[in-house]
Amino acid sequence: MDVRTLLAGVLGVAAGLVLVAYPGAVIRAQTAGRLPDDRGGEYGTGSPVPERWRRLVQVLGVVFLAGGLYFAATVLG
Amino acid sequence: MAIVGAVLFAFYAVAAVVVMGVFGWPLSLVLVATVGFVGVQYKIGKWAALRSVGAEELPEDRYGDVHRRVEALAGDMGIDKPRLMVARMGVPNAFAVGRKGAGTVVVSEELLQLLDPDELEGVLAHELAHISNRDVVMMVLGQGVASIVAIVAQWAVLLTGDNDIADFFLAIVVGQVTQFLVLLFVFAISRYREYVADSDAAEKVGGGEPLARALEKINRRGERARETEVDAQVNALCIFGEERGLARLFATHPPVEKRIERLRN
Repeated sequence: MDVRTLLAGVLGVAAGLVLVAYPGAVIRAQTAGRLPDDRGGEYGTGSPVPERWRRLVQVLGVVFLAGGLYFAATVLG
Repeated sequence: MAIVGAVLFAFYAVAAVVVMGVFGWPLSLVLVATVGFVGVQYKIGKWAALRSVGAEELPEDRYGDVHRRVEALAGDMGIDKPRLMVARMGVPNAFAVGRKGAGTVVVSEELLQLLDPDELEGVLAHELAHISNRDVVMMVLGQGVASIVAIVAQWAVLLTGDNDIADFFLAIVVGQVTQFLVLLFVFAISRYREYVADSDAAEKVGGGEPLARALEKINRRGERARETEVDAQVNALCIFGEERGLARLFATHPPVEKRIERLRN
């Protein structure tokens, strides 16, 4: 069994699920420190994440999921 | 918080050792590359933040009182008076960018209209505390460390594999997961720094009540806005169950209610 391919499968599925379920957190993680998180939205809160960006991250999550499932299938199938 | 900082440093140290071992870079080159990487992020971030909200100079003839308050607060905190800017953001807001000696505080027109002078002073003191405590620089540094560790992890995967398609995929995923893990610690520090800035602001304006009232007022205004039909729809789309669980760990700010409670206690 190729452990690295299996790891690519497992981590790909896990990362894909996070991207699909928590797109806002992912975007916040990518923009933190690069732009002040409190420049949008109300004072005392983080910036709201535009809906278009969320959808884009979720699409990326589906790609990760598909990739992960493919590599898992090649090892286990 | 010292533990969280130490863990963050440990991530960076491991990445630096890997770079030194694999590429044969001397420590001085690793440090110079790190400073350069973080420096570029800092410069671009500051420019992009001001540009993204269309910030303009806060006119001194119209807002002389605000300028004088900020000057007095900056003097109390032992920092240079930051550049004051104003922007139309559509919501009451304020944020700080830059560092000690080259800081900028941006306030929204909506915030200036909504708050009483003492509440505005509380908000400005909070933003000045961020500059004084180097919180902006800390966030840039945190993201810089997370990015560097992620890049090193990606290269480690690529250089130890067969360079087939699974390896490339694994490298991308490992980079993302690593960055995410490091940022957990950066966000924890960020939330803690918010409480520290609140506490410092309260000390400088003679109590936490003005800032607590400001937060309460802004929060109430936001809740009212969210009750409108359009905002309710937007809110339903945006929340997506994200204000709970994992997403809370990726918040830069603690809940407003907790901050108000702490300011009043």
